[in-house]
Amino acid sequence: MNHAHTDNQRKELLDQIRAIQFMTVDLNLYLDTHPNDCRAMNEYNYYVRQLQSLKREYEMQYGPLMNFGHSLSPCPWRWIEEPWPWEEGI
Amino acid sequence: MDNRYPGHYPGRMPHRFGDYPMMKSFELAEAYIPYQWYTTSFSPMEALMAGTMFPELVRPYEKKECKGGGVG
Repeated sequence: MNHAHTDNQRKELLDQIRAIQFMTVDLNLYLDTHPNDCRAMNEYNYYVRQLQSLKREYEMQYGPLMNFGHSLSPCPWRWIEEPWPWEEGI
Repeated sequence: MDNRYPGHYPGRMPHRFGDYPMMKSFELAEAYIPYQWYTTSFSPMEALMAGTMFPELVRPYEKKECKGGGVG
């Protein structure tokens, strides 16, 4: 498979994860001061589920998103395989 | 006002202007903010770019001309 093509797909998925995770952060902050807003809480739970499934999808295909016990690794150690943040534009 | 923790919000202290002669005709400062109601939100990608999911909270940084001729 074309390497540039798969790398674009990887970045697209990573962007999606960033955007969905941002929604969980902002809804979390909102809920801290509005704990009874059930609509916001439903949306929070909706984005949490979406985030979990996007992260799972990413990690299956491209390797761990977090280290220090958050993700399993096949052999060889996969954490060091991905480009480091400073090796790619945001 | 959040009334979940009444113990942490003692009633207003009586004004004791006598202790502060220079403050005879002034009240202490009090801050108020309106309560936010969730109405609509940006899409996740728009929210990430705007720095908030709430359209009413968008505060973009805008570059302005430097008037004093200073640096920066």
